[in-house]
Amino acid sequence: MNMLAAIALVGIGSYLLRAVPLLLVDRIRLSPRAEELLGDAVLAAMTALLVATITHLAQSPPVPGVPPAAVWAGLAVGTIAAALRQSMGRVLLAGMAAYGATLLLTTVW
Amino acid sequence: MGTGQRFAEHTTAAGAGYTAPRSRLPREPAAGQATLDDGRGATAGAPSSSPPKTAGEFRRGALTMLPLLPGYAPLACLIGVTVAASHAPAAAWSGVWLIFAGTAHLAVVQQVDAGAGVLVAAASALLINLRLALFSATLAQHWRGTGLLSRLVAAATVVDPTWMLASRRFAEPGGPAAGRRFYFGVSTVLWFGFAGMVTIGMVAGRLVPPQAGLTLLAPLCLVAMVVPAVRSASAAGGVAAAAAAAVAAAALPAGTALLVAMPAGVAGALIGRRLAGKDRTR
Repeated sequence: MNMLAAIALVGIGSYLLRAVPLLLVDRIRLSPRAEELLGDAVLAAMTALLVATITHLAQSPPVPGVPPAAVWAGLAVGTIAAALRQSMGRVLLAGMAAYGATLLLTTVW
Repeated sequence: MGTGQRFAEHTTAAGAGYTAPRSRLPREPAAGQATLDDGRGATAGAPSSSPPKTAGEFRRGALTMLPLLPGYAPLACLIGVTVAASHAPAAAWSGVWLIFAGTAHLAVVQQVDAGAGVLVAAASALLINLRLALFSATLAQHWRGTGLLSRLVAAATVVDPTWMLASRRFAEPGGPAAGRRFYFGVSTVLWFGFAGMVTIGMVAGRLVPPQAGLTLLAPLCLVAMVVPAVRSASAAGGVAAAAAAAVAAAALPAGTALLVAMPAGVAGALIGRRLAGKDRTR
């Protein structure tokens, strides 16, 4: 019941967030300053999520047969790919390839 | 993120010559104004100098989105696996249709499963989705003068990929009506494609061994969004402050870190912007 209530709340809220600007376009216009602050908040939210997922990765018990080095190698290579302005698909591909390669190397040795 | 701002500036410029639909607002374009036709007024007898090109735009949008769908498969698969492992999988799955925003969907399912309260989980997910208001605000000008139904339907599918593709299309010639049709083509493919991929992830995700590294996908997706955005002192300040706040608030109840990190990130970005401004004035 909690899950359904939370999903419904987020669904309704998300729809309102999307619909209100479209419905009020003739009346309201965000100032550049407001857009700038909203953009900063979005980036901060994504950063907080990233920190949370990495913290979760660091604290969760290791998967049998998966050395932590493989996970960190995947993240590091993904970050480098992202810093090089690669697309999301390529970042995922690079990160997962590094993860797989490290896993393979540690298994072989 | 500066993307929204730049896009807003861009589309404001692109939409400057927009002529409201003639059927609703029967006024003539101002002298010297570009007569970008919205497609509604297309007639066989109209001058052929710039014929409206709305036909096929829906299909074009759908075909543009189609090859990009696999890029969202990892996120969809991760959501599917999380939903399948949830204590209320049917309710969690309904979020695909009701929320239609992967990260927020994932966050609310994970938080409710972790024991966070409904309001805390919902508030966190809504904060993640705040960006959708900005996306919608920047697209909204292209829906001026359209019917209520068109706006209500369009609102249901405003999300990162639809916004990105539509913004590019609206910047091209052809008028708002062509852009709207293109948007609906993109949205339709993403709507059904993403739901299908999440459902496949629910069923087949359990067959994926833990060694496959699916847990890496979420941080990698976020890395792909956050890292390229750090292109200025303000963005760097915002990311650094948000990260520090998130680490400091990690021990607090689920979702709290996000609530703390957002104002911290805004403050960090303001400081970064101010410092960068001082550097420029020296």
